[in-house]
Amino acid sequence: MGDREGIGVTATASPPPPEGDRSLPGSGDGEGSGPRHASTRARRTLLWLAVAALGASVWATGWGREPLVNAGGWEQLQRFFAAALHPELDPTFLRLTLDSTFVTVGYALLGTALSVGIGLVGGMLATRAWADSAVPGGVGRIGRGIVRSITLPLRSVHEAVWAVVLITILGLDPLVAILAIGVPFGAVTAKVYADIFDELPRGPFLALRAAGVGRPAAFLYGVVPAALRSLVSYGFYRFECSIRAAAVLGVIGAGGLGFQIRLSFQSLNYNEMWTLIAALVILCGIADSWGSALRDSQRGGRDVRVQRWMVGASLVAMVVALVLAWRHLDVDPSSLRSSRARLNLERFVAVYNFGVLGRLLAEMVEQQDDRSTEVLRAGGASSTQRVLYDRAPRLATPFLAYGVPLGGHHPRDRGRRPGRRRRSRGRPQPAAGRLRLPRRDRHPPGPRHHHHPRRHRRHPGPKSRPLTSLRPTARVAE
Amino acid sequence: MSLSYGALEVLHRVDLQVEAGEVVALVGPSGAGKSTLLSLANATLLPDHGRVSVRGEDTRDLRRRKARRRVLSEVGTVQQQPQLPGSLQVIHNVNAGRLGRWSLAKAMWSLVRPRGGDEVDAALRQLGIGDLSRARTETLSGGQQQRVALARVLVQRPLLVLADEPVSAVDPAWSREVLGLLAALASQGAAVLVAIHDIDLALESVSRVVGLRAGQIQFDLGTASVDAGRLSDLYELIDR
Repeated sequence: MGDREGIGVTATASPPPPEGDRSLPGSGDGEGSGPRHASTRARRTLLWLAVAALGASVWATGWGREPLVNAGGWEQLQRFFAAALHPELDPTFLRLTLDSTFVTVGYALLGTALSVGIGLVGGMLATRAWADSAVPGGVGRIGRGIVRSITLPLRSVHEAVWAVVLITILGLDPLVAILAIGVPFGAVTAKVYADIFDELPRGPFLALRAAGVGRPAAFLYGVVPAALRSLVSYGFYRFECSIRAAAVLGVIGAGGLGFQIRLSFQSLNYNEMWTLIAALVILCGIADSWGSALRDSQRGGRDVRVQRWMVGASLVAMVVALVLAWRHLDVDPSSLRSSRARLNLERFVAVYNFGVLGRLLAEMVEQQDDRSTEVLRAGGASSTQRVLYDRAPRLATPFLAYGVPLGGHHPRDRGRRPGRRRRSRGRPQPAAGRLRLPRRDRHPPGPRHHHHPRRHRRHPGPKSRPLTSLRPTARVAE
Repeated sequence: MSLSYGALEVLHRVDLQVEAGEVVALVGPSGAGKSTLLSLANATLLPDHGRVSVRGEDTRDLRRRKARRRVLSEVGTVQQQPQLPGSLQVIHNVNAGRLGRWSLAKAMWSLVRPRGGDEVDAALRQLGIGDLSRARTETLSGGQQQRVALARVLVQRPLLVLADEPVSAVDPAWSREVLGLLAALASQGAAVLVAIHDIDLALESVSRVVGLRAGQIQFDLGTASVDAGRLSDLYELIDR
């Protein structure tokens, strides 16, 4: 909108004032009073509209006509805050809390690792230096445009929406939370990393390119060293965000602290809730203070050895924690390729395609920069022409980026992929036969995993569980 | 060959050959096309007409990654400013000269466990900073960083060296040292093309001088045949 107004203003301001007017002192005021008067009127109208909207909203709440506050709720609220003094400290529950904390941290860690990985590769490809150093006449410069147009829609969808979409495809699986955090955050990280890279001097990179060094290696030696501290520091900030996101995803059903909080809340067990909230607060506090200590140490004027030590120690701690999280969550990437996931993907494509993709497309259209369209409009192009020559070509890439992977393979190809072990042909696979072998058969379930929501998906039952059933059975909500 | 940026013709029918073992100085006023000529030689730019060949290979054929790496890994570049990331240790910055011959995995692993320390140390010793290989580059003085940049070219063992005004912003002693080093590289069999403003210094240490003006070669002479008249013609203000 701002751009449109800008163009309008330029157009009205462009004709020079008449000669005679210019010589008169104070004529500028006289000239300006017209439009200024109009804008004051417009502003006053807007103000009245806003007041009217506010009034309508207040009316809609029923204020003054019916009780706004549920008086019975006060009692609940009192109970809630009273419970703060007596958090649940039963050892069994504390162990559950600790375990849920590990799950949440694990999601956050793995999600952050994925997003930093996506960010590094995507950020590198989206960098101006990368595109500009393409071999003359080569195709190396299109990567930047592709990455930018793919990451825009990815990061414009909130991680909770991603989780809902991914649960539909993958079922209850730790990968849902990891991907739901990793993909949108990865797209954001790619954008930020690209900006960090773009702000660095390009000389070292180009000097290496001139010596025949390939782009990845030239990037590694010419750009990354100078950016490393910013990259690590931003990665940590993303980790802090991921912990909060992981807690929210827990509420949706991904497990961990958020999930337990929801269960305790639903069973009105406020004492348990306070224990869980305390765990979440402590967790966020630790992540926050670690992250800000790291960023603090990177400010100018600090001892270089301290800076390097902080970065090194954080990296090592991260790697160790990552390995632990991977094992604790029992992540199995092969479930991404499982035929169940593909089946659900197809259902998703069929049922949600129009709804979700339509919404995504709408968001993309909304996020488009209008300036080039305005140029066409100013040139007298009709709306169809503007769509044909501007909107459609610019939307094609991001939309394809969504559409192709979703509708990319025929349902009949299910379970048959070139180069993979082929199933016996001719015998249709029953739905249960396509399920992955239950993990329980491979590892005897220990008490540690008892309340893990994913366990319940892996029942070797004849049918897969309903896709949207998020309720675990270990802790019954009612 | 010729090269234009849009309507502006930067180089017009330039014909120049630099042999192995030769140091050729490229002189001429600003905007004559010296830097462009060097960019053509390392395949950063491609000519519009004619051909540029490095070690017998047309730079147009260097679009393929393998050919590009093979040829360009033997082209060393010396710049006015040392283009070094400051947070890397000196040894990594020197090793960067060899990246064109290394695989990506080797390059990555070398950042963890540096390779070729002996050769790096030898090059640094040759430049008088032998004990600095594990220092962080940004802790070095400007002069030391220039030495690191030259050490990088030394370990690259290039067959063609392109130097774009390597001595424009440095003190006279270091200027002589740089040109001496370029001559040493030439005596090891490299072809050296150096764009330079300091004519007197160039006349001291190179074998051939090429005068470039408004994108055309004005003269291409042995050092002994260059006289003041030709030089003043070359640098005379251009009427446009």
